[in-house]
Amino acid sequence: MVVTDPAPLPPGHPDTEIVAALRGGDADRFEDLVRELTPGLTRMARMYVSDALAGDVVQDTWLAVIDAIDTFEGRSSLKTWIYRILLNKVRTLATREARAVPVASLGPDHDPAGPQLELVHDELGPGYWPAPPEPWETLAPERLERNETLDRIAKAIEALPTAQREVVELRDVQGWSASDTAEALGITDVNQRVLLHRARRAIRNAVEEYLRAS
Amino acid sequence: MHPDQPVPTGGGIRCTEAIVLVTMYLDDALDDRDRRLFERHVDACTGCTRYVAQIRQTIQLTRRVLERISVAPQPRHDELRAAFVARRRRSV
Repeated sequence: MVVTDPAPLPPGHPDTEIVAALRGGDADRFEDLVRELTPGLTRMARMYVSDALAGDVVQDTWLAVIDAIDTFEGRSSLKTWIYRILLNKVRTLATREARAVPVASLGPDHDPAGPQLELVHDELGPGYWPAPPEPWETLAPERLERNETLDRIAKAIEALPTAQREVVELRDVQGWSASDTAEALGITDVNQRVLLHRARRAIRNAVEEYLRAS
Repeated sequence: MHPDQPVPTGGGIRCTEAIVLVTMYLDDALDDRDRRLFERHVDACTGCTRYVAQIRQTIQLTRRVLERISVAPQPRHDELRAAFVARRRRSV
């Protein structure tokens, strides 16, 4: 391995301290980071490959982080940089395994939530609710707080096209910001928002359907 | 005030347009004009008020899905730590 000087981070980069610690060989800080990020990385990997393979890909990702930390230039946060390493690996692996995401699922045509909501009000015409949606608190208040509702949401997420799943996973399950999410996934902010919008709509519809069935 | 149905006003937006803007509104990504149009519509529309509330509930519930996920397979910490120590020592 050719040893070169580590890439300098831009002044004031929020990860300056931890990157210095990792570069300096602080194994405790490394292990803390592994514990913090591994659950989310594993969930992301599972969208593409089996559970067993997901564990391997995450392990490989960490090995790559160890090797490449000197080349981290701080153009994103450390966290999004690590996610990008994982996504590169897992997408390549999924393609090789012929478990690749169908191209169609990335485009706007394949959308389980269906086309744009078609709202037609009797008097006001198209574009208006025919009747307001029933509030969930009155629809099935006892169901809303049940674990089964969360299971339904988990299933609804699994049924989403991968591009939507990735975004909703980072934004709403893991609570990431819009910009970090777009950065980690290598998509534009606008794209990120469109995918999130569709994903939330599909999940909202699944919850409503579940509550209505009670 | 939430009348049962929205009243179309000149220059205002319809429910379908308000729904399209929800995600941007929640991200605080609307410009002033669009935010005003959105808020004016939602304030006057029971359907959209409920829809926005449900999207907020959806986000809160989705966040709780993590609680229901089985524990992810643990990385092989010892192996990773050993690899870290070995490789970083070489390059420091």
